[in-house]
Amino acid sequence: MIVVVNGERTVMNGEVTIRSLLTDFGLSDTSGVAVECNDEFIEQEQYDRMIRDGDTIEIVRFVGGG
Amino acid sequence: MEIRLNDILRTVPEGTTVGQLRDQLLPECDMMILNGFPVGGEEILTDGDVAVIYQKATVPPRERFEALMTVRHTAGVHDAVKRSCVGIAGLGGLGSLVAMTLTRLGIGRLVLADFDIVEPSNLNRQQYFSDQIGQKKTAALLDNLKRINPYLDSVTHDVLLTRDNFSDVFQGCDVVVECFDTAAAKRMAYTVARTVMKNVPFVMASGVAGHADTADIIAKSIADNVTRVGDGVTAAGQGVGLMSPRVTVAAGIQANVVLNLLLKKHGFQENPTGDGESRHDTIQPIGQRLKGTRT
Repeated sequence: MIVVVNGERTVMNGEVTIRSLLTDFGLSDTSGVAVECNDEFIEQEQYDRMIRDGDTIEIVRFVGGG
Repeated sequence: MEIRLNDILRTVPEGTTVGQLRDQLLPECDMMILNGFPVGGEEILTDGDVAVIYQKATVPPRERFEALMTVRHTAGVHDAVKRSCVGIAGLGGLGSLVAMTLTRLGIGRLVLADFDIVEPSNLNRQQYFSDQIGQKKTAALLDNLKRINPYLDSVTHDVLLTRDNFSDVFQGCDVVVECFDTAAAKRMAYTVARTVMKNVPFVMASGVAGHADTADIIAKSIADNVTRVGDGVTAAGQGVGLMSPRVTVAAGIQANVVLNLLLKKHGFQENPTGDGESRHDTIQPIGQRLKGTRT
């Protein structure tokens, strides 16, 4: 399937969840991470949801200090 | 010809200098500002000039205070900010300086929220003083802001901000500035920004620790209504300090982004500070640090 992640078209094979995608980005600690899929904000409890062909995903990550 | 003197429209003869105006009307005054810049008095006035003449060593009365405080502003800026309300979430290194900077800008109203007290380790970067240790940050910061402008309009909330109370606390704000210190709290603010407060611009911060080149600290659009200031990667943590130089730069950039958002809202400027082209944050592998550059 083809998915757009942060503006980049990406080919993915098999079953991919939001959580596994974040892990691939090195973001298994999701405390500072936020995800939107098809312009919808995704709650943390939904991170085990499957990504589907054609999804557009935006991932932002915040770090501490201020 | 017509000029404006201390906010009052006046007709003056051609060829009149600023100094002559002062001598005739305000002989006790020693400061002359013409179109936002200090002058010596020999300058010949032209039609439409804006002159402000006052006494250097005198505290202005209430009705003149903000006009004199903002006499060095670019024309029109104060008019835009004085009708605006800005919320500041967290009053630490970033929030306390954003609050001070916006106060000096002549902001109409501030909504300030923090649950914490001033403690000694705050003094390396936060806008508090040693005689305020132990005080609530909301109270201490307000005291400091009122020393800048005694007539500042503000509301303080001595609360821990959560997803449940955030939008209530900042209801009515034209812009919200996120100045939290933990990644989780920043994520919470972003969640609010992208769910129940999608119509309000947010100016967030991420990656202001350490002492790498401050040129790495930039304003970047990360969502329709969210700008992020920082380098995006340098987290405070064991071995990575949080210190005044970078925190100060980041807070200044946050305040400038706020200013440009307010100017845009009131029709004064087209483009807010920051990269409006791409919202995409570059996700760096954990552990990668941006290298400082020497030129």
